[in-house]
Amino acid sequence: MKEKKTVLNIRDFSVSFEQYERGFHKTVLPVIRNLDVTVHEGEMVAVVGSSGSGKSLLAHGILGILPYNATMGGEIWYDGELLTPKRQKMLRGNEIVLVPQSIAFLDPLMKIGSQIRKGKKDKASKARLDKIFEGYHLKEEVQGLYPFELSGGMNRRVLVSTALMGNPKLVIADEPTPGLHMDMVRRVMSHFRELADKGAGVLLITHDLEQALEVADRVVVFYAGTTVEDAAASDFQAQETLRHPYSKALWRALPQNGFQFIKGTQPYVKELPDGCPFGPRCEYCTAECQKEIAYREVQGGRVRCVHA
Amino acid sequence: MVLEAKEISFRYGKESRQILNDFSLQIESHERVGIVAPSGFGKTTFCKILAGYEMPDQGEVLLDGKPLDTYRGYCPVQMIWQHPEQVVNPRLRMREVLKEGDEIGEDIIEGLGIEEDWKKRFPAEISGGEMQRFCIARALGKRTKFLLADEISTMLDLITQSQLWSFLIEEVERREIGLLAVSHSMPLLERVCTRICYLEKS
Amino acid sequence: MKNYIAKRLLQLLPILLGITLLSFLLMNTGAADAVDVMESNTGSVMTEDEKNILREELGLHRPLYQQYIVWLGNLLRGDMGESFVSGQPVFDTFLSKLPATIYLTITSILLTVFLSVPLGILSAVKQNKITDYLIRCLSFIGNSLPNFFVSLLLIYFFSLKLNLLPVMGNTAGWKSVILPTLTLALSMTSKYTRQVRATVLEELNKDYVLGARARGIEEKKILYFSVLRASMLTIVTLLALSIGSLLGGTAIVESIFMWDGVGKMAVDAITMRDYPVIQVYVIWMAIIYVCVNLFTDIFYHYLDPRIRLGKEEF
Repeated sequence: MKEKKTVLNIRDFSVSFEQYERGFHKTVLPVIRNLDVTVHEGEMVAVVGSSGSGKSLLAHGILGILPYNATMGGEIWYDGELLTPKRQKMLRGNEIVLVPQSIAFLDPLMKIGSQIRKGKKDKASKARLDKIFEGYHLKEEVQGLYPFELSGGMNRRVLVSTALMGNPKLVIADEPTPGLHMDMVRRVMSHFRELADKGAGVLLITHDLEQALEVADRVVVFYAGTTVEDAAASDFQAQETLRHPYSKALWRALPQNGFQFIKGTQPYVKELPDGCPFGPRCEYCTAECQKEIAYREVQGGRVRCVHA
Repeated sequence: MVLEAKEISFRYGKESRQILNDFSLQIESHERVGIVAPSGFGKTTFCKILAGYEMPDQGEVLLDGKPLDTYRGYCPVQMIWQHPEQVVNPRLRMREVLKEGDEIGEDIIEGLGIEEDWKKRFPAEISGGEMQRFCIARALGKRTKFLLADEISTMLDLITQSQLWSFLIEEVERREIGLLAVSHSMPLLERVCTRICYLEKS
Repeated sequence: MKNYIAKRLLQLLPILLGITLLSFLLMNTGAADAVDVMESNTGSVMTEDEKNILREELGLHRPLYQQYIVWLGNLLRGDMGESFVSGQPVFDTFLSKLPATIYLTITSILLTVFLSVPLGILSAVKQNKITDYLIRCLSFIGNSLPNFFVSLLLIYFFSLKLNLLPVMGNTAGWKSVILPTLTLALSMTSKYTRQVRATVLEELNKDYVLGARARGIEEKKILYFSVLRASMLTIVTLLALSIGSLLGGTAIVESIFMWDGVGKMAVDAITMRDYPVIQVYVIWMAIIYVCVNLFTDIFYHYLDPRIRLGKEEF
């Protein structure tokens, strides 16, 4: 693992929104506070967090397509260099690609073929698309269809295809299997695994831990705007190998592991506690947890907890 | 009570595919039935038919032997959906959303961990997990006799999933509400249900 | 596509029939007895017997449905009776007024589109920046100025002060169309700029725009090929309605500029209680709106594959 080149290295990433409340009172919503992720070549890393927790903003941040009222902090390193807006513009859709969560991310008024080819009509682009489609068993006619005409099985493969027109070195899959049946999930995931095996780094953003554990090499646990643990997927086989109390709580909540739950909900971004966001729900919480907590290495993974 | 689906066939429009074909199922009040089926089987459609949102092309839905559509007013069969944000009026505060259902006991609000502060908010201001709690509460009105849960925790994190299901199991047991749970997760259904139906594509 | 148009045209028949029936009934219930009106218009006094004979000659003693059929037959032949005021055939009068209205409609719609679409897009793209505020401010002012006031201002400056353009009438060639066009286009542009801005903004916030950006497509391409195309669906609907109301003549503007179109005709007819003229106008308006709606639907079909190919519900 160590020798492999780091494709993506995100440090202390944060995203906040400016919001106007009741007229002129301006507030800042820190949706993401401390997010750290690394992705190596040929590796599949899953960022797991509950839906609505702002994970998608990570994808948008890497691609440089955050909404205009969002402010980004921290550093994103890609391929050993800082990822500037200029580089983002150059690389996105080519080396850094996004596999979106649904066909709502395709222009409803444009045919699939010309849409994926980005309007290009030259022979090389056509040949390339034909080859990609062939690889996913999509017939040539599909290129002439509009997004709404695709069947459920087809649109997943089409969405993956959209990411492959360039030479992807980093594939970001944002919640690529929302509410799909397990067979379908496995099939979609196998596409990503394939891309990783071919050498690309894959960043899978999902709310579904079970799904992530099945395919990913590493799992990054995301809680209320913060990454609390970075663990090998195999660490999730037992509670003892996990580091953060929240990860352990997740483990215990799996139906096959006892289906236990802890009380409470993830805090609202406006009401985040100081220090560890999990503090109020954590049985080990002490005064120390209310201070800034370092993200440190423990047993080959990383954790943001003073007790681990 | 017994909720009975009798030889139900259904498809959307004349040109589309047959979704359900002669499908029958029976649920009793003390039961929690799980359904496992491949994608495209029409599980959601089946739930919609059982809850009276769609009329089957053939067959009928009987509640205690009487067709469901003869029950006037509040429908005793209530459905909880996979995507709560799609079944909540975005322009109503959550407090008003709750009032859309039947009378809801304070114990339900408490049991689901719904906080007073959330009720003041609009749907866009709360998370999916919080919204699903409201949707579950809304479906658990006093006159609810059967509950249909269509992948209700698929979009939620594991802890919320286990919180909500633990509450639901206790509540339906106490009130003798029959439950139909649709999920792709076998371990979950094994935890939740008293009986599981495995279905093949027709 | 051809089938669809044929089907839609066929559907028009009952609608048009219904409209004529309604306007016929309206005349029969709303207006005074035709013979009485003629009596007062000609100024001669008739006995009750003479009136009855006249009624028989005119077919007024027949049952209503027979009268309708006769009236409809005449209508199809372009005979809609004579004006109570001028005694001229109303259909001919109407036809002679129509070109002026169509002329004004075309010029003002074109000007509106050329102004409001670029302004609206600019305003949306520069959302909450100084350009946007400026455009929105201007359109706000434009929206709040009534037509008659704008036209008077324009006349004051361009005709009276600068002496560049004629005050009224449509006899001075292209020069005479400028002021009425400006008047109409100004208020419509104000409205449409906001509309275009809102629609474009809505489209820009959709996921497919995000998807396109992620695929590395240039912002300009996204704007012109995807967003604008999708926005057109909404904008065309609104434009069609505007064209409809313009073709119906703009009573105030036509009156102020003495623009001899159907709008002015209608106002004059109403003040004189010239029922046959009003009737022509009512039918004309109905036909316009039916046709405009038809064109919009056909345009939709052309523009949106989801409508053309039928979206399958699931």
